[in-house]
Amino acid sequence: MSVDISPELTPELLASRRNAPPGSQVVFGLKAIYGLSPRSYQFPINERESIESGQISISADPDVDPSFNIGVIDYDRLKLKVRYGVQIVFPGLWKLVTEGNHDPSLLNPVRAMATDTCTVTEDLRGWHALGLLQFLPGSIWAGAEGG
Amino acid sequence: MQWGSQFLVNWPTHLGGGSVYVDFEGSMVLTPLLSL
Repeated sequence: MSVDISPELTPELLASRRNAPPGSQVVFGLKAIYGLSPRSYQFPINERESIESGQISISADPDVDPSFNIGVIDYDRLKLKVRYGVQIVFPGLWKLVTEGNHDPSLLNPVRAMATDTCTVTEDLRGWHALGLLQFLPGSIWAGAEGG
Repeated sequence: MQWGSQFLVNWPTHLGGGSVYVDFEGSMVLTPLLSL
């Protein structure tokens, strides 16, 4: 079996790659996320009824493969895109189950996938994003997603 | 790092349709993997 060797792949090329300055884009893994909504929202439970969500808590989904939670930040453009899996807790569901005749399975973790596209603050301390949120099967809100 | 996001959620028809904007404020922990 013969092996073709590209004439473009030279020791000099490899050395230049090795010594090149680091780029402005960094791929990173998302190890943790914690967040709260500042207020309660109206969330539907069927075509006609809705509940108060209560203050919503969001955290990383421990059932998601860590490789799913990944992003890229471009320091030159101060842009960031990140994808991650979350579990979301709605206190309103606890009230719905405990005060009504509803299936306790509603209290199972609500899982969702999020994709944030955002601008990083100039001091690089944080960012604010417009995100897409897709609720996964297994929750009352499965099928809901960002537009 | 500090994190905040606003999500637009569209409800499917069996949940009555419509949409809601949901805001979160919190933090994220990021680990650099690769510089491009």
